[in-house]
Amino acid sequence: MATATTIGWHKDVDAALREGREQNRPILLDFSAAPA
Amino acid sequence: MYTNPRVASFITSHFVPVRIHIKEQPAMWHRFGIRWTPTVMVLDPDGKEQRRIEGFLPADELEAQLELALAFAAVGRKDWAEAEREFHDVVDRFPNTEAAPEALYWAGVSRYSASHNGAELKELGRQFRERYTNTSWAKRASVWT
Repeated sequence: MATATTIGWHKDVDAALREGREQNRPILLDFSAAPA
Repeated sequence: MYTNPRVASFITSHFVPVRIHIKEQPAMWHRFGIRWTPTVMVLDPDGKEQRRIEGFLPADELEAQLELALAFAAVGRKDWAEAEREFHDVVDRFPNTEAAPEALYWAGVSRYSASHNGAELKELGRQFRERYTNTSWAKRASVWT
């Protein structure tokens, strides 16, 4: 049975870019206009 | 787009995820040249854009596109073996998505880039005579048949 995974979204792009560089991980940016 | 548990798990495992609501951070619209929502961008760890997905995609298509982005990041590093493996993984796991023929094409290109053996491109052209024959990727590969 699949277990629900909650995505731990960041809000700060520059902090995420720093984290990506430090951890050698790609960054996914989701641009939305829908109500949060 | 992220209610599918497999997609959510894939994102959590592979990416630093950032959600930008355009009304909360309008400057980001201009910074990244966003034209429409939803838009998903994948950047490599150095911040270079690898993939841009504009508009909604169902779960399989989205996951295939995200894996394609990881493969292109490997191309950027000239890690041809990893790129080929990732591209083949897209074809194997998501054979009926729009990403699959693109992945098949780039798997062949990655193999050729590692070997510089023209026979690899001929083989790629042959594969497109059997699969994904009516796609733009088959047209691109037709030059090698």
